[in-house]
Parts: sequence; structure tokens; C-alpha cells
Amino acid sequence: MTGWRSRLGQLTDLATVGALGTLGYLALVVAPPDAVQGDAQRLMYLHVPVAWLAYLSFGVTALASLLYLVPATRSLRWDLLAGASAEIGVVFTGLTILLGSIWARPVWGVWWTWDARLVTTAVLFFLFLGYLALRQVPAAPHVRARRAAVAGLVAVTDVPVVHLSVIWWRTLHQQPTVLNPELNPQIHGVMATTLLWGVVAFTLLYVTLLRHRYRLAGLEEQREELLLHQAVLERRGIAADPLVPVLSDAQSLPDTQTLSEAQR
Amino acid sequence: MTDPGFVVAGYTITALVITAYAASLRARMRRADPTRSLRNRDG
Repeated sequence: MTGWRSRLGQLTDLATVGALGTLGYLALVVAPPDAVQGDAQRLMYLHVPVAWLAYLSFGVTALASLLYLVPATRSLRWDLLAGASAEIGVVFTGLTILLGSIWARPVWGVWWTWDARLVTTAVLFFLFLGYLALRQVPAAPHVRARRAAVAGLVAVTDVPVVHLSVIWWRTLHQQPTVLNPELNPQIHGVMATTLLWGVVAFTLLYVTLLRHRYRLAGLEEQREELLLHQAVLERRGIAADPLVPVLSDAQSLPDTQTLSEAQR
Repeated sequence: MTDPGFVVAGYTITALVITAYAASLRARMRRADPTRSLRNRDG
């Protein structure tokens, strides 16, 4: 990684931590308690941004999947990006459900109910969990990428269903506060500022996590290629070069350049 | 549990999930880092 990229990355990491800390202060100290729900409403400043992050993750997965499927832009980098983003999306969809459940208990009196918004969100969680499982099925990189891209595009169709579920069906869950059909936000003042700050902070968190997760995906891909290469060499009866460590030990792998240099 | 109790639980769980996920990324990155073996080999 070049110097300026590394510095920009560190800056993003720091900005994310700062933004999340500020959100905590705004949400727990500055914002007033809600007139109806009291302090329990403070969970909104997490629940909504976390859900936004999940939507954003799956949106990026869909876009990267599409870019992979279009022949002109086909590259395994899009596949890695799609997979990295989907994993973040699954973590934050799970957290959305968990936070929703914690908020529902004092407000609705139940931890869970078979409400359209809750059920469609749970379906979204399991769809992308399946997507991640599909990515683990052994296959050639482009076969895996094509399968995953199609599955990702199918799974993402649930995102608008989740968002519109509270409009399409009668639900216990409240209507959209900001992105409602009239585009007339039903939140004002410090509460609106805090919610907006939450969305900014969690968008920064997404960028930070995706940067690290994408890099990890590249390293894992490299490791898989090396393992395959080693297996082919062994099959052909070619002794492994002493420079190449035992590849079954995932913790001691050379980089691609070293391997190719060693074989020359 | 009172309302503030639910709020504290929600914020704590969120902080824990984010920290745990970031830590897992760091650990997986360390395991997959190919330059690590070179550093180990070179002592």
C-alpha cells in the first residue's frame, strides 16, 4: 500500500472513531428524551443508521455484482468487493434486528412480533447469509463469481420490500420518518441533527470496514491460489521449493512474487 | 428493566459488535498476511 493511501486509511479510521464517539455524546447527552417514548427513543439514533449501513452494504454488493456480470467491466475485483460488502451487511442486519428487538420491548411490550417489517428484515438477513454460504462452495473463481453475482442481485430485491413494507402492509412498526412517500421528514431540531450525524458516522464506519474487509478478501484469494498451485506441483511430483513453506499452514504463506521468483 | 436500561444495553451491544467485528478482521488479516512468513523466515 502506498504511503498516501495508508495515511488516508488511518485518517478514515480516526474520523470513524471520532464520529461514533460524537454520535454517542449527541444521542445520550444533547438530544432530549422523546415526548411519548421517553429515553427508549434514543435507540433510534443507532437503529436507523445501522439499518442504513446494511442497506448501503447490500446496495454496493448489487452494484459490484452487476459490474461483474457486464462483460465490459468483468473483473474478479468486483466479485471480491461484492463478497466483502455482503459480509458487513449481514453483520449489521443482524445488529438492526437485535437493536429493534431491544427497542420494541419497552415500546411495544414484546421482543419480537410477526410484523411485516421485522419478517422482511429477517428474510433479508437469511438471504444474504445464504449468499455468503454460496460463496464458500468450492468452484473456479469465475464460476463462483457468476453464481454469487446472480444470487446477490436476487437477494437485494428484498431491500425495497423491507423499506416499503410499512407502507404496503398494516404494521406495528412505525412509518418511515425521513424517507416517507411525501418526502416530508417527521423529525426536527436536535433530534434530526443527531439522526443525520448517526447516518454520517455509520457511513464512515462502512467505508472503514469495507476497506479492511476488501483487503482481507484479496489476501485470502492470494492464499487460495497458492494452495492450489502447491497442490498442482505435488500432483506432478515436483518437490516443493524450500523457499515455499508448507502451504497447509495458513499462517506461513509467501506472497505471489516470492513464489514465482522461487520457481524460476 | 427501565427505559435507560434498554438504552444502555442497546449502545453497549452495538459497541461490542463493532469492536468484535473489527477485531476479527484484524485477526483474519494477520493470519492471511503473506509477508508474515517472510518476516518469520528472515527472523
